[in-house]
Amino acid sequence: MTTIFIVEDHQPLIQQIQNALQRWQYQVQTVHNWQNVANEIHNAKPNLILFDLTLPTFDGYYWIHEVRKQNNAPIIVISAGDIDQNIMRSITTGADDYIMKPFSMAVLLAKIQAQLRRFKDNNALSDNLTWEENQFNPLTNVLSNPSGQIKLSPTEGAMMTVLINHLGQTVSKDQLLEWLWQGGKFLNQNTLSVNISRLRAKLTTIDLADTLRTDRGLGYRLVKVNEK
Amino acid sequence: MKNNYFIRQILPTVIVYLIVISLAFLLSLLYHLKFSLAIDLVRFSCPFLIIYLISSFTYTRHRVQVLQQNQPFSPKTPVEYQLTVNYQTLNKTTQLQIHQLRHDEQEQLDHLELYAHEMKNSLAALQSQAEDHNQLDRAFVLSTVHETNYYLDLILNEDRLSMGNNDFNFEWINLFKLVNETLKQNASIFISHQLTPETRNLENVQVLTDRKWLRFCLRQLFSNAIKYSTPGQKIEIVWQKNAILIKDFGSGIAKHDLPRIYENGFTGENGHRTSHSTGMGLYLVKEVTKKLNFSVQIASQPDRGTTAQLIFSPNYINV
Repeated sequence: MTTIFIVEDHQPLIQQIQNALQRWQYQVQTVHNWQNVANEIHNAKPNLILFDLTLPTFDGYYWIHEVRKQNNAPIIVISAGDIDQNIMRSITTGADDYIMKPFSMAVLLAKIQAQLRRFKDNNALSDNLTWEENQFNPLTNVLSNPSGQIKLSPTEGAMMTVLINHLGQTVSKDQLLEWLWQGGKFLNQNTLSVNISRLRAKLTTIDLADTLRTDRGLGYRLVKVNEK
Repeated sequence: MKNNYFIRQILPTVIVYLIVISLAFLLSLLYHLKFSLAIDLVRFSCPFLIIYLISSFTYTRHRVQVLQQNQPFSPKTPVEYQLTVNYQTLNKTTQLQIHQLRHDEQEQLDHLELYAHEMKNSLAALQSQAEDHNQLDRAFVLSTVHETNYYLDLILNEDRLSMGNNDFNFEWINLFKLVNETLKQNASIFISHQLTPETRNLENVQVLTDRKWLRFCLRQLFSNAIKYSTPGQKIEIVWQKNAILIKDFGSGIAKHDLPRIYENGFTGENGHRTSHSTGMGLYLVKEVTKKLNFSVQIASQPDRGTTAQLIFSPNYINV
């Protein structure tokens, strides 16, 4: 179970991040005693730490420094601005990456996964995503079920990952595009449609025709068996 | 403190006087003259010495008071003269600096007002949407967030740019990585305008400059390219002959507007056609290029598109 520790005091933001991370089966832990942050982190042994640098009465650099004494987990700092001197300082103190407020969850997730990939050989991403009888490996982009096995392109694989994590829910085109962009694939609506069609064609070959539905004007949805 | 200087001023005179009278005593000894000669010399010269010391002290103190009360002062010695000259030069320089600072401060306040108005506009639009509809359009909310954040970043950045805060951090930057990073950071605005970026020739190019400010300029130029493109078009980001080119195929800039695009607050024809144009983007880019080691050049053809270039000199490039 991958644990992510969030050093943040804004409750709505914590909630938001928690919701997004739980979709990916990440467990989230937060600070209880603000005088004892380093110890709490040490005890939690997280796989990754999110540090908000904009907290007013909290000296982020001091705590990053303290945490680094006992912990080697990747640290992503949250800052308010781009031309923020804080960012350079925190990276020298021990942070690995930064993200600026306000950020999209897609960006945060992409950064978290990039860091985890670098630091763990056996991370959550190498675990297969499963739904019903189907298994999808995000690293090899192989999708298999009792009816067979297909190899997806990196773009199709990225789309599949998002759809599986939103099983039963509609993902808007823009949401999909944002996710793909974070992976460096700068698609637009047209190329997205083309890729979706190709994905559908491949899914049909392993008896998953009709599982990838288009909700007109809303987006795409991966359906569960009982919905068919 | 003050007394120290008075004493230092009279000390030479006193010392010389003492030397002279010692000399007198010595001479009277050598020439076998009566000591009373030397003593009389002291007796008659002493009052003069004292009068001299007192009047010197009084005069100096008067001069000091004149200075302390900021009354007109005319230098009476070479030293005083030079000091006066130095002081006046320093005064003039300081006045100029203060004037410049006041001017900058006023400009910043003007910009702040401008940004605040734009943000209020965005919020007003959001509010009216919320009041009229039970559910808000996701794209609309995101674009409002993006816009408001854009102005907030401008406020944060300008602060650093104008305060003469020149703590630049020069490093070799992988251009391909930086451009991709910036594209990802601005994904939502590209996507909502249905524009596709195409990068070419950026691999293996490294430039030596300040990362944050280069990214700032890229972001501004992307923002402009997006504003003047129509949905479905592409935006090219290419490395060509020592420069980063950002090419859009949109409405372009009118010929008579081109000379004025870097002006503070200039919005031109295009600015009025589309909304949310404060005319600050290019002005700020120009300000950055003045302080850093690259230059900006913009060429445009109405209805054909615009090409913005960030040009580096060869010694800052590594291909």
